[in-house]
Amino acid sequence: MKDKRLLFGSENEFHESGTNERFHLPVMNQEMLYNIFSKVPAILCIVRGPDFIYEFANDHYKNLIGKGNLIGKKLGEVLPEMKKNWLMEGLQGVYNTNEPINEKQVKLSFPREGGEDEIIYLDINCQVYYGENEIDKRVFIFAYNVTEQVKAGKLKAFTEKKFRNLFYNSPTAVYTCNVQGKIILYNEALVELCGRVPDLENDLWCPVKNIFLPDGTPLKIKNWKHFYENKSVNREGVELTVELFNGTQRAIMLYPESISEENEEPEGYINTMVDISGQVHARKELEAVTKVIESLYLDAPAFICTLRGPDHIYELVNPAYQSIFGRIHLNGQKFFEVSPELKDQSFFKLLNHVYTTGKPFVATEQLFNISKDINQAPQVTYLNFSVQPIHDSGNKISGLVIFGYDVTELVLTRQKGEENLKKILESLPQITSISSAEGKDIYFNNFFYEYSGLTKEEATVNGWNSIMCPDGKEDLIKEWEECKKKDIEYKRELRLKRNQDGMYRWHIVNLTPVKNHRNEVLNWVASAIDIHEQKWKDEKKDEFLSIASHELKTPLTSVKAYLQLIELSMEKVDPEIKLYCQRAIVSVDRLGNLISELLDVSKIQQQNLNLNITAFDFNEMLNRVIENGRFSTTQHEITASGFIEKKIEADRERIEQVVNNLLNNAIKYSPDGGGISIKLSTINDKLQLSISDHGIGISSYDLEKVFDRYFRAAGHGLHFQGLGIGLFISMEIIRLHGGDMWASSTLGKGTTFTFLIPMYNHILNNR
Amino acid sequence: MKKRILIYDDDHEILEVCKAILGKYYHIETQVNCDNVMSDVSELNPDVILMDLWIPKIGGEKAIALLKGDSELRKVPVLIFSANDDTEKISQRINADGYLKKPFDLVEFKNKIQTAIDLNLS
Repeated sequence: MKDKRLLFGSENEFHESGTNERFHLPVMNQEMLYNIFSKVPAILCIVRGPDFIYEFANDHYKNLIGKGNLIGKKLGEVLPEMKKNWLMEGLQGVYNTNEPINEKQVKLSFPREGGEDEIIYLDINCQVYYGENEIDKRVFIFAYNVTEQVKAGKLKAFTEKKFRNLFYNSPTAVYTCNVQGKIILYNEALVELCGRVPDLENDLWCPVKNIFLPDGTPLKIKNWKHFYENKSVNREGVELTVELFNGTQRAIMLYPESISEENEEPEGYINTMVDISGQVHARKELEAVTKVIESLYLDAPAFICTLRGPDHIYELVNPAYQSIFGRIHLNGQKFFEVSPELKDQSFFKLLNHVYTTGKPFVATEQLFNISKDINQAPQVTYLNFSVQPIHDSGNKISGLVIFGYDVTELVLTRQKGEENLKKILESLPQITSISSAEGKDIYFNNFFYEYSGLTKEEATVNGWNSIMCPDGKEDLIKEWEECKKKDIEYKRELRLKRNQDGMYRWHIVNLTPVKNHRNEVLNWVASAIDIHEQKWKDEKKDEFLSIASHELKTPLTSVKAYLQLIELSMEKVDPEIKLYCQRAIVSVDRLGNLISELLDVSKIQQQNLNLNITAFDFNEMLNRVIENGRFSTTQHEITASGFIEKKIEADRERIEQVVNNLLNNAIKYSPDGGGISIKLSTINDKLQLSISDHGIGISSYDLEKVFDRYFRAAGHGLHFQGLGIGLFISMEIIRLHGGDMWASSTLGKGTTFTFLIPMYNHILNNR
Repeated sequence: MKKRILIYDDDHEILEVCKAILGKYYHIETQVNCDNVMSDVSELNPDVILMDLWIPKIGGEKAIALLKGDSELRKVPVLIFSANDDTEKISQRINADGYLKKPFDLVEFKNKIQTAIDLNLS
């Protein structure tokens, strides 16, 4: 079988991988070789000549390239993709130079059914061997499929790379030490945390200056190793304070861990450090706050307790609470087992209500009967308190907080004060009542019952209402309500029915709010003083004045008429007698005015001064008054300025009376004469008139009282005519017109009186 | 022919002075009470009436109301003649034809009466 022998070379040599030495195959027959080659667990083929014609390929090879029937075919045609491959070049190189190639983990892709390529990694060895001559030159291709190994290796490398990235780029400080504590690897975060690069030669275990345990004691560095053995430290970390080389201190959490195979001695250590300085600061603040709250809770004069669950089990109880309920060891007990007496006092309902609805409850001066001891009789206790729900993290109600004050002393003291007050009220000879802030009558004094003849029950239902005179009652109630809304005092005259004789008697009723320090109304106190006698006397006086005025004017009418008749009849006779007549007429007119003034005061008193509003020419009226004024004096120069375009709406007679009064005063109180200036102007639909004189003036003290009734300028050593009621009446007239009047004056220099009235819309007509 | 004025006033002096002032021009009738105001007016048939307010027994206001309630007598102008300060207001309220306030100015007094007569005739 020469051919067969030739096929595998006559020289029994084969190159060792990596060497140029030839090695010699043992001479054996083709079948034998074929068998051997077929069984080696490697990929194997032999190509011949420069065209690389397949001479042999084992099954592994065929499986690899996915093709059978290769013998006699050219490698380049069987594997056309190889032409572009560096391996083909390599094969050419081996053939031409006789230099073997030995490549590891060569990545090749082979087409597979379904169109997808399979990536295969091969360790390839190619070498030349010869047959009998150079033409018989062949290449022996020998390969191992190392795909699995390569893939596994890649994964590892990948993992390592990932780990390295994690290690170096971690925002958390991580470093490793060897068993002697020398630092081997560290990341940037550690450098940042420690403020410097670790000294790999000298730093041991931790690259900081000093280390302190949570209790503040310094940690000896040799003890560091114990951290790795302490399982709870491994798992949960240990809190330490480290002093850095720059002198600053940091609170850190250290998570130490050994690097070792299972049950073997450690090869090194890995340490993770987390800077918790911020957290520590926050926690310390929280602790401080908690302490304050705790001390508040414990020392507070307020009682505080928390109740857990629907059975209201005591959870936290402060000393103030214990002292009210007189028991200790409340924790863990059910509220109503401790204080069964409260169960009937609607407290049970209340707690359940807050617990189920979540709506807080606030009570003031709530009366309870609380036993300080389970065997003791309950005592009157007044509490101001609130019950608030506690929500768990899921926002469900998990319990209640009761917070409050014992106000028993306060309430009892006040009640005593109230009792004293009531005693005073009882003895008062005037009707007095107290009502709640909402206006419900809660107390009437004895005098009220006596006067009204009502029983307590009747008074509670109808009270004032049932004794008020029906005349004007509606208005009064309306006004009363208004004052209550505004929290202001109310005063008014009204008639109340006396039970004794059924008579409606005049009273001054005063309604006053009683307020607390927050200016909130607590109660209203109503009182009524009987002014019936006084009122009757006033009425009689007014009636008398009215009649007197009428009766006085009647003869005056005759006197004036006769005087005028005389004056007329003497037209052509003695001018002196005519003058006397005129003077007599002036005096009669003055007398008439005085009588009218007296009557006006009486009307004002009775609120009976009525206006008769008409439209009239103010300028004309003013001119007439000025003319009369000029007629009455020769010492004064009266000047006027200003003009009102339209007619004004007012009581012509009454306004004339005011202007007359002011002008006459100006004349009267400037006895040495001088100028009197009258200025008329309009300000936004209002008419303003001022009259200034250069007279005796009014002191600032008197100026305040100048519009008072019966006020008279005094202290001038002079006596002025008049009753001292002119300005009082004038002011009232101006007020009835919805206007205002004021005066300014300098003593010895002169006075200015000014009034301002609306020019239109006098619908207010009567009061 | 002189026009006829009927004056109601319980004060004799007032009635006398009125006669003195007006007697030259008018025929003056007087009454010191207004108890028979309707028959008085019907009988005397005045051209104008001056009515005091405070006059026995029913009072001037009521007397005027009676006159103004009569279809015939209502035509006679009535002037309130009073010392009451609110005369003007009362006059408007009870539909009197005018008023004369006491004490009065002679000229104004005569003018008002003549005006009332003139207005009634026109």
